[in-house]
Amino acid sequence: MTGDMGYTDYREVLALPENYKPADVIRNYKKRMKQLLIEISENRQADDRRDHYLLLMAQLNAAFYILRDRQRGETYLLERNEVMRMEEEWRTATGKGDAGEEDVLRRKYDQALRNFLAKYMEEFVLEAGRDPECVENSGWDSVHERLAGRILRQYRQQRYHEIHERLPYFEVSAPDIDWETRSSFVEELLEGSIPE
Amino acid sequence: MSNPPETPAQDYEALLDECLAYAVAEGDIVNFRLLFMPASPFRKDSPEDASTPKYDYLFPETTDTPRYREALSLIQQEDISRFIREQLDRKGPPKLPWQAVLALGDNAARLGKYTAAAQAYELLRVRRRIQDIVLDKADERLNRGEIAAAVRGYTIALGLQYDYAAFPEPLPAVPDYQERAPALHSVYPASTEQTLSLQEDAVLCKAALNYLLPYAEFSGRLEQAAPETRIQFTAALIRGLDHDWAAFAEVFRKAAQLTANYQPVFDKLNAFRPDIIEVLAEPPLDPAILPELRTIPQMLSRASAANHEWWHYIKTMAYHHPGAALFVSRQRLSATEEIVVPRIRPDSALAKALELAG
Repeated sequence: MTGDMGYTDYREVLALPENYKPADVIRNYKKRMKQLLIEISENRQADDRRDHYLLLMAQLNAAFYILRDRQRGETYLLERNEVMRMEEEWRTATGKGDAGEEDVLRRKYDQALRNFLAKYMEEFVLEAGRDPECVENSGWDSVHERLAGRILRQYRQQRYHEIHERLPYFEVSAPDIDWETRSSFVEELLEGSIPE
Repeated sequence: MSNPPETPAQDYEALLDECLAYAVAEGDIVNFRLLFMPASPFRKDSPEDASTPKYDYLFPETTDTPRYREALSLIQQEDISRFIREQLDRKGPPKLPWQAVLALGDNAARLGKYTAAAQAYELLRVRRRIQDIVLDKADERLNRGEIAAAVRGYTIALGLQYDYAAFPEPLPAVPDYQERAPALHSVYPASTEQTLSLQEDAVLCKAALNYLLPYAEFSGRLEQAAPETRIQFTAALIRGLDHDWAAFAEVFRKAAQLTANYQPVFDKLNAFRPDIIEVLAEPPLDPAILPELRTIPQMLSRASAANHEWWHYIKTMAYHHPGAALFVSRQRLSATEEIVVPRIRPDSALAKALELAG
């Protein structure tokens, strides 16, 4: 889990200060994209890490595309704060005994989270790749876009699961796993002994 | 007028325990979840009735197995039993008892039902950690020279893999060798350097492991292993993923004998570009031998006909025998027709270990 609690903070991606100005967005984006492209060209294992680099490039493009436009940037921050507030609201409701209310809040939060991740981790990222300035600075083309579809979907789902892993259990009762027993169980599996 | 015979009263509590224990013992995550769903035959507000014949499949055929008895005793533990009944009476989505889900996942893993095990562990949010433990233990076994146990470990870890890019929801990743095998042959092998199966064992093993364990976190772990160990591991993995490998190896050797007879013809064909073959004054291939050549890929892939494209044969072959795609190559018969033929290096230790050499 990253420091942004799973809700990607594009201000962090561009290392922007708290009260950033549009010029900071452009400067930091160009600087970071240039660094990334140099790293890719110098890395001999770049082919093996293609998915990793493609994701980094896509995130930089998305951060620039979203935060460069004042209104788009403000909407993004509002929606991000709202989904985080809904998480807190559901967390507070859990364990208070009202299963119905708890479930309603969980569903609302889950829907908001899915929408947020789909919009800002996938749709806007692909849209950014078609932005002329992003294309000029990153060299993003149709091949990148084709590969990025799968990678972004995977990244979005991973983010979703990372967030869920720190949330209260709702599909199963909270487990109390004995990891020593798990280890012995794995040994048993490797021995290949299947009891009747 | 006589009264209809009275239906004996059903003990639904006992039936519920039986069904749950059966699902846990068999590692059946689908049936287990069904028992908690709104339409579960064990919910009071459900119109479904567990005692009707349509739900016979939820009940065990035999209750005399240690795994079933163990599952039943778990389900009948007081706190678990009470929790289950609370959830079945609850309005809204139920929670599954974690102890039963974990036992179900374990039984599924024991029985080789890895997708069910992966789903159970994913519900408990322990899948990745268990996968890491399995891989660590498999590496320990590999270092001790226990190849079979190491292969078992990697096979289990592979089975527990999840596909987070699946649409619309993440799902357990399932083997898709038939989808990836044609990519091993995307370039026509006009020379030895371009033929994967004619490469040295070190190169072939690396390609094999990347293909058979298609996740960098898996295949990357094996890079430090000694060359000999990698060969043994790759051979054992190919056999482990295909219980019918011995039968394939026998067919492969026969196909290799047949191919060897025509090697001079293939060499001549490979010396020309495809567009040149069509305009040669003397065709390098006698049309009379074409029917026999076309039977080679058909033999290897067990295809029903001998008129498919090369990639069709590779896909079919990889579906039945995942490792097979590593020991064949494309062979041109004309500008428009290609077949698949067996090709191995005579000095390949990997091919020998897999009994492919004649």
